[in-house]
Amino acid sequence: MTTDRAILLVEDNEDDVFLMKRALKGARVINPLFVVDDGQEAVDYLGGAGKFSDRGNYPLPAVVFLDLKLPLISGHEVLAWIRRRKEFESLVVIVLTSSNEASDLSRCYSLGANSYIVKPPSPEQLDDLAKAFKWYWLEYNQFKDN
Amino acid sequence: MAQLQTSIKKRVRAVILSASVIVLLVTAAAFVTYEAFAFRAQLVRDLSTLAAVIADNSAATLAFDNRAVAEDILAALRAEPDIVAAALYDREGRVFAKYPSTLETSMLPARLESDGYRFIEGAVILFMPVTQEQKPIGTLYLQSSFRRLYEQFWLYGTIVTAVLFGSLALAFILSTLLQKRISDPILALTQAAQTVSQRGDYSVRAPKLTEDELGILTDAFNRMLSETQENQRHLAEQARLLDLSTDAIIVRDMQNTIVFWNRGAEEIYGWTRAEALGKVKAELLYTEFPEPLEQIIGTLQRDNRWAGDLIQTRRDGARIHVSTRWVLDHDARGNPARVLITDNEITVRKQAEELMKSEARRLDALVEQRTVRLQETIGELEAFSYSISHDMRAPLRAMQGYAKALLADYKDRLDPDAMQYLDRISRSANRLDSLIQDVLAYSRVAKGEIGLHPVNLEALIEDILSTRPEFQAPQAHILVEKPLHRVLGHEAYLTQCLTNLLGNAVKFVPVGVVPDVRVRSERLDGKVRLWFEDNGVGIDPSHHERIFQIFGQVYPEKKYGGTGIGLAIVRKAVQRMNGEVGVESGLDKGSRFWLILNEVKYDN
Repeated sequence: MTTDRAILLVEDNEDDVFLMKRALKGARVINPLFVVDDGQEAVDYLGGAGKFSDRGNYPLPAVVFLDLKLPLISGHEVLAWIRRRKEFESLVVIVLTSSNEASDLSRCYSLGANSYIVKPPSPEQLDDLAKAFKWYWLEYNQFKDN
Repeated sequence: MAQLQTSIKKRVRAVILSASVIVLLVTAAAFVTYEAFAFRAQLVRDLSTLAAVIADNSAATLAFDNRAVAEDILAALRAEPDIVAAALYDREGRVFAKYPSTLETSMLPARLESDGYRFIEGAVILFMPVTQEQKPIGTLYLQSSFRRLYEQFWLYGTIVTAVLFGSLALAFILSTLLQKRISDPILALTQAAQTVSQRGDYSVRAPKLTEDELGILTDAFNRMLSETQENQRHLAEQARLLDLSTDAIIVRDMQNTIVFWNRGAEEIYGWTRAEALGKVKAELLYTEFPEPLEQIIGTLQRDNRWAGDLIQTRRDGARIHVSTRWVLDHDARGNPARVLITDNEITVRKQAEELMKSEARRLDALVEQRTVRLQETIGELEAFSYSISHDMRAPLRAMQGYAKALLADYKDRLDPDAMQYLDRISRSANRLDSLIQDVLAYSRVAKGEIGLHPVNLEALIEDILSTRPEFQAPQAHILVEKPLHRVLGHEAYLTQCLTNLLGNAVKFVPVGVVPDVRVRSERLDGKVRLWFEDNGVGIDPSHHERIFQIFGQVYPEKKYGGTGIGLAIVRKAVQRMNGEVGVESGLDKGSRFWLILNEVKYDN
């Protein structure tokens, strides 16, 4: 069981942030959760730019929840940026989007997404997703040591 | 003509006269030559005889040295006027006696020459031995002048000249008579030939004046004329037939010179036959060839024919298109001799073709342009549906999420009414979400066929009205006149259509006016027309087409809200259900939107 590895949520919609946080809390995910609300900030966080250079307060995450439709830099571009970097090749990126367009799906997988999840339409389904995430990614999945 | 006549007459006469002159001259020359020789021989003979007599007579005078007798004997020579000098020499060669006695001794030969005669200038001299009893005792010298000869020659010359002129006069008279017999038939032939060549009249005939070779020639000439006349008639007939052709029929020789030009050619090109003959065709008509001329000539030589389309210029300067066919004709020895050209004007056809081509190009361009516009529209639609799927569903999730969170987290502090409201919020959000999903599904399947099923409009409208407060009193009065006829449609599409139309009906009203909407249906020959009549702001007729276009909003979004796509979706959905949509409205007069859909037949 992994509890100390950080999770980065890249999401510009406050409501989705609130609901996601609530769902994860409901599923008893206690890992440190960091939230950035645009693509540029996500890149800054991962690249350790500015205040994010302080890895004590902003640790590198083991899992990134990535929305696609983001201000400044789109989720696709953030994903491409991550996969261009050798140090992030094993970073788990889970695309969490409201788009179920076939074009988005195929593009994200070709860019190197580990998983693609359409945002659940109902709160119950979001709760189920949070539980499934914890069970699969935090209990069974083996992360590469940073 | 007159000149020619003179010429042939003169020539015949000249031939006869010069022949006569030559014959006369040769004859006279021969005669004179003969006479000269004969006279000289006679002279020598006479002189020798005379000398022999004198020598014989004077032998005694020499022997007896009787100079006076010798002088007398010599003096007898007076009877011979031609004897201009004579002398008797003794044995030692001294002059013994001389004649005439007054003659200076120096005029006599200084010394004796050998016996015999000799011609000197203008005279003949003779030395003869004087003998007595076979022994030479002296020499006789005689000199005879040619005076008599000259006199005779002069006489002959006069006779010959007289004969010559007499003969010439005779020859002239004869030749005048004779030349007519030769030159007249020739002149007649000449005249006939000239008539033919100048007037092209092959019907003339040369009169036959003699039965000799000229007669045969005249016959042959006339026969040739007959044949030519027949050929000419035949050719004229053929040319007349060729003239009947509306195609231009042209013959050119191997120097490109036009040798035949029919009436069709005159009509097509405007150049008369007389103007065209002898010209070079391509130069006369400024021909533009479809391929290099060398290539055309190559084809012509290889295949003996060539066909193609040319652009040529008429006499009036107009450019015309012709379809042309060339055939190479050979002479009897198999060498290329001429080209038969048949031109057919196709300007109108070409212009029609050009017009069709340009029209086709224009249509292609139009299709291209429309396709681009269509693709842009499709692109807009795709962007729109992407936007919907992303942006519009997010607030719905939030609504559902917060409603559930409230129900979960504040369960013990909410009364049953509040719980019910939260439930309604949650269900409405669900409905809206599924509607959005339906529309997205619709936009995805818009290209393909959709299944149509009977739809109960009454139930559908009830459902729509019950879930939306803005369709309910007191916000709005919506009256549904039952029964509504059952239609063949797609439920999600119809929900979309009705929601949009009712939504517009209650949205576009003047401030402070309560929307009043009436929904009713009528049957139209196997179809159902559904009316939505409102008391709204109405739409100016000039906008009736625009409002059905995507983002064809007429009213500012700030005032009434909306995406400007509602009616576009309605039209698209109705089209997919094989129906129609339209509006009857005027500004400030309310709107009457209608849908026409296929009716469901109950016996099916």
